Amino acid sequence: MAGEPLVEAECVTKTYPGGVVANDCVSLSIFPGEVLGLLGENGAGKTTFVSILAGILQPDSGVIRVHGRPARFSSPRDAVRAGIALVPQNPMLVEAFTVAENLLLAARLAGRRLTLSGARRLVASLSERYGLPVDPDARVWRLSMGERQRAEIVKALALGAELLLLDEPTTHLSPPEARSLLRLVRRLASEGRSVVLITHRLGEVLGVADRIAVMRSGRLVGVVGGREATREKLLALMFGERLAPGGAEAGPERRPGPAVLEVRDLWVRGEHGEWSVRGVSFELRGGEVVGVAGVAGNGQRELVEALVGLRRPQRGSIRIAGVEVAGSGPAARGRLGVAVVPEQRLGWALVPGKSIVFNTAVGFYASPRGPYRGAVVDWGEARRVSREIVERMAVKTPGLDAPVEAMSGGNMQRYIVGRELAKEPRLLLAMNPTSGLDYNASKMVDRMLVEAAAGGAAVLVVSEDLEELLSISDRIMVMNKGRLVYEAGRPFDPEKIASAMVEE
Amino acid sequence: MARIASLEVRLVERGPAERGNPLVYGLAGLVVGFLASIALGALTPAGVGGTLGALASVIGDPGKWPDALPYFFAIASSAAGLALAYRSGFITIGAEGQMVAGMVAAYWALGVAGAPLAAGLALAALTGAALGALVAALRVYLLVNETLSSLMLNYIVVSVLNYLVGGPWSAGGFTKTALLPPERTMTPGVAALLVTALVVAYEMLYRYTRLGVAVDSIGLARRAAETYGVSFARTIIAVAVLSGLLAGLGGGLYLAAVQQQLTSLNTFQSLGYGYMGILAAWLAGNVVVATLASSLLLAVLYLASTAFQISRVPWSFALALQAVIVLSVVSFVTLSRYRVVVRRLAMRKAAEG
Amino acid sequence: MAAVNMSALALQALVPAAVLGLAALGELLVERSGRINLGLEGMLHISYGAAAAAAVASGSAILGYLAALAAALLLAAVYYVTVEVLRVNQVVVGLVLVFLGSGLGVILGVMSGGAAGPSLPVGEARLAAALLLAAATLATYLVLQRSWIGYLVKSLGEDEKAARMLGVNPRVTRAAVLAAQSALVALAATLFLYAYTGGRWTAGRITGQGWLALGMVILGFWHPLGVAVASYLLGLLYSVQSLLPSLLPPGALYAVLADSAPYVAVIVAMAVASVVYRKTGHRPPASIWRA
Repeated sequence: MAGEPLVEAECVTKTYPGGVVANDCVSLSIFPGEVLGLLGENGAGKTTFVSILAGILQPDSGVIRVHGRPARFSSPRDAVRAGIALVPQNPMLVEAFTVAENLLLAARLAGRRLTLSGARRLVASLSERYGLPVDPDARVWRLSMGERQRAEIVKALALGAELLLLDEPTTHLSPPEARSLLRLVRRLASEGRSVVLITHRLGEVLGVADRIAVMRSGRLVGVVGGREATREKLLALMFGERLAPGGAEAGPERRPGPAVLEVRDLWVRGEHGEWSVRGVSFELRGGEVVGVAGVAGNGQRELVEALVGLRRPQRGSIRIAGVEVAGSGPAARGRLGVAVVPEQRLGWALVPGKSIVFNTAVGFYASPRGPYRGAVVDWGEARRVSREIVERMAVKTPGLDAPVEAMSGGNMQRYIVGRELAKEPRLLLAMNPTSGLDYNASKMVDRMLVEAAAGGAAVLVVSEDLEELLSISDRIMVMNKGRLVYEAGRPFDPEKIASAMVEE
Repeated sequence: MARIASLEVRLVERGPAERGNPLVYGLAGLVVGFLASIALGALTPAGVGGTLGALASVIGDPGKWPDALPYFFAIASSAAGLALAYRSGFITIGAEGQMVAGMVAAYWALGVAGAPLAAGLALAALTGAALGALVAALRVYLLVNETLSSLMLNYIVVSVLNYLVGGPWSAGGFTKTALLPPERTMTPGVAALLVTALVVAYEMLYRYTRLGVAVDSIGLARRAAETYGVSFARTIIAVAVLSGLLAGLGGGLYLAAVQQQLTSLNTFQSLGYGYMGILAAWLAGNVVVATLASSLLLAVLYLASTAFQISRVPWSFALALQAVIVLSVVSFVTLSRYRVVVRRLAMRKAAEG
Repeated sequence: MAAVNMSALALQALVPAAVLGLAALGELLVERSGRINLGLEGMLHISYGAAAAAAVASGSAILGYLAALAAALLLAAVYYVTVEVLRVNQVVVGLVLVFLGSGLGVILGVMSGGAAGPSLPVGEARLAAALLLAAATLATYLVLQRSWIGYLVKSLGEDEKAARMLGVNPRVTRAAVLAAQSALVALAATLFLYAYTGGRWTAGRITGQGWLALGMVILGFWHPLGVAVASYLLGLLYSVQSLLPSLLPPGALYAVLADSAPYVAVIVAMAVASVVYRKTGHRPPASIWRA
C-alpha cells in the first residue's frame, strides 16, 4: 500500500451560496490498494468532498492530483476518465433505462466505444466475477435499492475505476447485504483498487478500513491508522469536546390510550401498478410510538402515502378516530388531526421560495387550528404561530419572512417537526424524520416525537435507521415486500428484527 | 460557463438573502428592451427613425393617452386572471377565446335579445367562466394539456363568431353586425374603472384568502400542498373560472364600450388582447395587481404601433416589439438571482503548477 | 367515384402532413430531451418569412432554405440563452418567441413583396413531401431508438440529475437538439412555401401549424412513427376541408364545422389519448408533460 498516492487533494475549499463553508482546506491522500474510511456526522462535509473528487462539484480553490498530475474535473465525465467513480448514497441511474443502457451511455461519454450487446456482456461478466447479481436487461425502476447499488458498482468497475467512492453505501442495505458489501470492498482493495468508504457509522469502518479520516464542520480533523483506531478515539475526533452519544433513550413512562388509527387489510398499488402494500393490518393507540422498520422499497412509502391520503388504497380500510378515511384525501385527514413529517423537506413538506409564515399557513391548511377564519387568512395569527414554533424548536433562520431554503437542512426539519406538533395532532406520521440531520438535530427531533406521544398523540415513525427506532419506539413493526412480517414490543430483539427485514 | 480570451465567465447562483432587487433589474430590462425594439425597427420599411418617431408621437403626447384606454382594460382583463393562473402552474392561453366568447354572449343579450347592459355583461362574464372551467376540467379529469386545449378553443370560438356574423346576425355584408343601441353602450373610461376595480379585488382575494395560499403552494410545490390538504383540482378550477370570468367580462366591455358591434375575425389573429394579456402577465411577474401597470405599458405601446400603420409598419411588428421588451425584462429579472463570476485562467494555472 | 376521391384525398394530404410532421419531429426531439419549445409556432413564422424573402430576392430555392434555417436558429439561440443559460421559465420564453417570431416573420415576408419565388409543381411537391417526411421519420427513429445518441437525449428527458451523473453535458446536448429542431422547422417552412403556397408569401398563412404540430407530438405519443401517422391523419383532415365545395355561403353552419374541425379533432383526440394512456398504464416519456 505504500508508495505514490493514487489521488491527492490539496487544500480543497468549497463554500456554498449563503456562506456555508462545506470544505475548509481539506488535504488528503489516497493510496492504491487501500480502504480509506471517511467518517463524520451528517453535515461534516464528506459528501461535498467526494463530490468534488468525482467531478460533480467544482472546488473554489485547491488542487486535485491523479497519479501526481494536477487534474481539473469540470464534470463527472472527466473524473470517470481519470478512473474515479462515485457510487452515490441514492443510486443515480436513469430509471427508465436498463442497467446495460445506463452503462452504454456512461461508457460512450467516457470515450469508450461500446455497443449495447457489449455492455450487456460486460455487466454479466463483472456481475459474475464479483458476486454481484445484476440483470443487465432489467429496467432500473424495477430494481430494489440494493440491486441498484450493485448495478452502480458494476458500472464503476466496467468503466475501469481505480478509485471507488462509496457514499453511505449501507444506508439502504439489510445487515447481511451490508456485510457482503464490506467483504467486496476488501476484495477490490486487494486487487489494487482504492476504496473510500464514507459513513457516519463507526462499526462499518472499524475492521474494514486501513486508515480512517475524520471530518468535522468542514475540516479534516485527523487521520488514524486502522490498527490504532478505537471507538473512543474516533468519537472524540467526530464530536470534539461534545459528549459522545449515549445509549438508548429512556423516554417518559407512557400508557397507551384508545385506538387512534386502525388499518385493516390494506392493499395499495405503487407507482408502476405493482402491489406495494399487501394486506397490512395494524392499530395505533394514542400515547404510543410505533416504529416501522424495513429496508427501503418494501412498501413503506406507499403505506405512508395511503395513510396521508396521497394514494388511494385499492382495498381495505383506514379509520382515524373511528372515521373511515380510505376514500378521502389529505384534507379530511388534516381535519381529523393528522400531522405529517414527509420524507423530503423542500417540495414535500415545505414550499420553496416562500417564507416560514407562508409555510405555516400551508401546513395548517386543513387543520382545525389553522390561522383561518373561514376562507380568510389571518396572517397575523400565522406569524404568531410561526414565531412560537421557531422559538420552541430553536430554529436558526434569517427571519420569518426569509425564504425557507435559506435555512440549513437541520433547521428546516426542526421547523417542520415543530409545525406539525403545533397542530396538537391526534396522529403524527413521520417518514425518515432524521435523515441528513446532524447529531444534535436528530436527537432533538427524536425527543419531540417521544414527547408528542407522551402528550397523547399516536406517533408512527417509518425509518431506515434501526438504531433510532430501537431507541424511541414502544413497538416495532417490520415491513417486508409489502407485508407486516413482524411486530413486537419492548424489550426488543434486534437480531429477530434484522432477520425479519431480510427474510425472503 | 464561457471562456472568453483568457477569462472564465460563470453565472453563480446567489443565496436567497443576497439576491438583487428584481424591480431594479426589471426596470433596467425595460430600458434595454425599449432600445432593442427600436433598433429592430431598422428592419421595417419605416426604419429606426420611423419607429422612434411613431413611438414618440404617442408616448410623448399625453393628449393621446386616453386612446390607449380601450387597449388597457382589454389587456388587463385578460392579464390579471392569467397571472393568477400562471402562479398555480396552470398555463392557459384561453383568455383570447374567452374574451371573444364574452363579446358574442354580450351581443346576443344586448343586441339580439334586448336585455339591459348589466345583464349582458353578466352573461359575458359567465360565458368566459364556463370556457375557463372547460379547460380546467379537461386538465384535471382527463390530463389534457391546457395550453393546447385552450388554444384550440380560441380557434373554435372565432369560428362560431364568424358564423354568427356572416349568417344569422349579419347586417347585410358578411363581416359586420348591426350596432348596439346607444343606451346599451358605455364609455371606455367606465369600462377601465370597472376592470381596475375587479383586478384589485382579485389581488385582495389572492392576498387575504385561502385562494392565494392554495395557488402559490400548488404552483411551487404541489406535493407539499396536497399533503397538507390543498386540492389540486379545486385550485385549478378556481383560477380557471376566475380568469375566464374576467376575460369574458372584458370582452363584453369591449363590445359595449369600444366596438359596439361584432365583426368577423381572422381565426389566428383574433382580437389580440387576450394574447397580449399573456405578455402582460409575465411582464408583471405574475403579480395580479402589477398587471395594471404592465397592461398600461403594453397598451401604450400598442397605441404607438397603430401609428406605425401610417408609416407602413405591419401590425404584427407591434407584437414583436412587445415580445422583445418582455423577453428583456424577464431575462434581467432572472439575472438578479445570479452573480457573474469572472476569473483569469492564467492565474488558476499558476496556482495549479 | 368514391375510389377516386379516396386516392385524391390521400395524395392531397401529403404536403400538409409533411409540414406538420417535420415540425413535430423537431419538437419531438426537444421534448424527449426534457424541454418544451412553445415557440415552435414563432419559429415556423420566421422561417417562412425568411425563406420567402431570400428565395424571391435570389431566385434560388437553396438560399431560401438556408435563410429559413438561419432564422430558425436565431430563435433557437434566443431560447437556448434564456432558458439554458439564464434559466428563465421555458413556457414564458416559448410564448414570447411566438410573438417575436410572428412579428419578425411578417417583416421578413413583406420584404418579398408578395412576389412568387421558386415553387414546386403539384406532383413534385407531393413526392418531395412524402420523401422528406419518410426520411425524417426514419432518421429520427434511428437516432432515438437505435443509437447511443438516442440514450443521450432521452436520459435528459427522463432524469436530468441521473444523466449528469452518467456524464451527460446537458447544455451541449440541448444545443444540438435545438439545432436539429431548427433544421427540421426550416424544412417544414420552406416546404410550406414552395409546395403549399406556390412560392408566394402571404401574411398569416402559416399560422396555426406550429400549435398543431405540438399537438401531433402528444398524439404520436412521443414516438417518431406515431408523430408521422398523427400528422398524416391531420393532413387528411385538411384535404377533406379543402375539397368541400366553396359554393356554400360562409354563414352556413356547415362552414363553421368545417372551419373548426381540425381544432375540435385535436382536443377530442388528446382527451381520448389521455384516457387510453391511463387505462393501458403508459406514462409519457417526456418528463415535462407528466401531470
